[in-house]
Amino acid sequence: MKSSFRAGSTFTYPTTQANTKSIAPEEPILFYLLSDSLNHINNENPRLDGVHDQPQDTHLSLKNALIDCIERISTVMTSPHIRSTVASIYPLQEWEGRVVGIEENRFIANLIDVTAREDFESSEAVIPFEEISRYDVSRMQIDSVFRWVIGYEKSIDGTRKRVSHIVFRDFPKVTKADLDEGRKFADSLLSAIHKE
Amino acid sequence: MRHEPEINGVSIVLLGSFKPSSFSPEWFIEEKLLPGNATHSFEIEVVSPLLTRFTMDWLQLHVDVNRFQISTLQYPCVRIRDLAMRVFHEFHPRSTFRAIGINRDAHFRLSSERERCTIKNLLAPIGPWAGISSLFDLSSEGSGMSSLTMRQIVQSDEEVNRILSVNVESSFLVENEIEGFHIQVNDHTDFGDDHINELQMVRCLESQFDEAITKGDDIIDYVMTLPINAQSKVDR
Repeated sequence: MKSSFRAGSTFTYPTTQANTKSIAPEEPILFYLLSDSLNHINNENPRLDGVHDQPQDTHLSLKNALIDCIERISTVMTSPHIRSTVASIYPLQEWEGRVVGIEENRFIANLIDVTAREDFESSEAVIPFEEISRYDVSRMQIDSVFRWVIGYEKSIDGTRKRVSHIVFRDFPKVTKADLDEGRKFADSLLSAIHKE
Repeated sequence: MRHEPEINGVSIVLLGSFKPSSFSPEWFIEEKLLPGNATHSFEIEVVSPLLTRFTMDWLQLHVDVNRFQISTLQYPCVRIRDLAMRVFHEFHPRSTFRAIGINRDAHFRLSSERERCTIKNLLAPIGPWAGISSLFDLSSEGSGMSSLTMRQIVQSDEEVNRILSVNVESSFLVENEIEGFHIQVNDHTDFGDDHINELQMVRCLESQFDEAITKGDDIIDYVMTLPINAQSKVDR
């Protein structure tokens, strides 16, 4: 068993931009690059005891300068006025739909209620083409799969509106590696059957 | 969820080795992974060999040499799963990964300081600290828990370590920091030195994404209903 978990968190980095006059837009990037450089120094040269080629004081002064810089920027970045710059959609109801019929101005779909955590198609909907983008209309086929969300959108200025959003899913295409894996699985299944 | 968050997000974080400059918005459009028409606006922060960061409507992307992070604030959140899978399955099939994280984030505006205190005191009571109140007095207003992380070891063996973490803290993304409250649920799977390949990553996302989001929703909902449940116990 492993003694400890490796360093490297998969918690989300902030994906927002600063919104105050005191923070230039490039500073989050600068902050990131400086942090990254410091990590690099710590990881690549964990021992500052003269073992490495470069003299100890060069590493130390570089490291101290970076720490200084990061501290100054991070102080600014903890401003309480930092806000998200993108509207957020809070779902009240979500379905996964499968197209079962396409007519002149609408399509028919069977729906799975994702919000109720169902895993079977339990209802049918007739949806006009106005509800979806032209791009989606052009590529829709029988058995195309989509997600339909009804919820509230909160914009950055605090406006709240009800939205209905249909998005067709983009599944990964079947690749040669998938086919090879499938063949391998079929072969192993076949040989197991033959053994019995 | 019964409480409506101000900011509602989901993200996928992949740790491994990446070439940030190959994930430019132009590349995504060229490969038809993202739409390239005028109705979709790109906000490009940086595209460089060290870091690529951009936003497009529902999508936020951050790629550095060790991390590929794809986030959304707009449901259906399954779009980021589909896109991450397509990027690596169809275009970077030789990629390897040492960890996968699926994050559920919610930033709330609390109705009052009292509500915040109730949640803080229920999650991390100050009672046990009373014995050292002469050294560390938590009785004044605003004192007490500032950030809390709880962890569940879901799986720990030779090949895989999976941890579910819940982090609760003040939110700086909600305009008034006194009212802002942030809960993040991180489902982290670590593959150690035996990095997994792209196919295994895809299978992992397929099997864990929905579960992680559902669990995240339930945990966030539970934390946010703590004051209501506490009040109803008092009323009884």
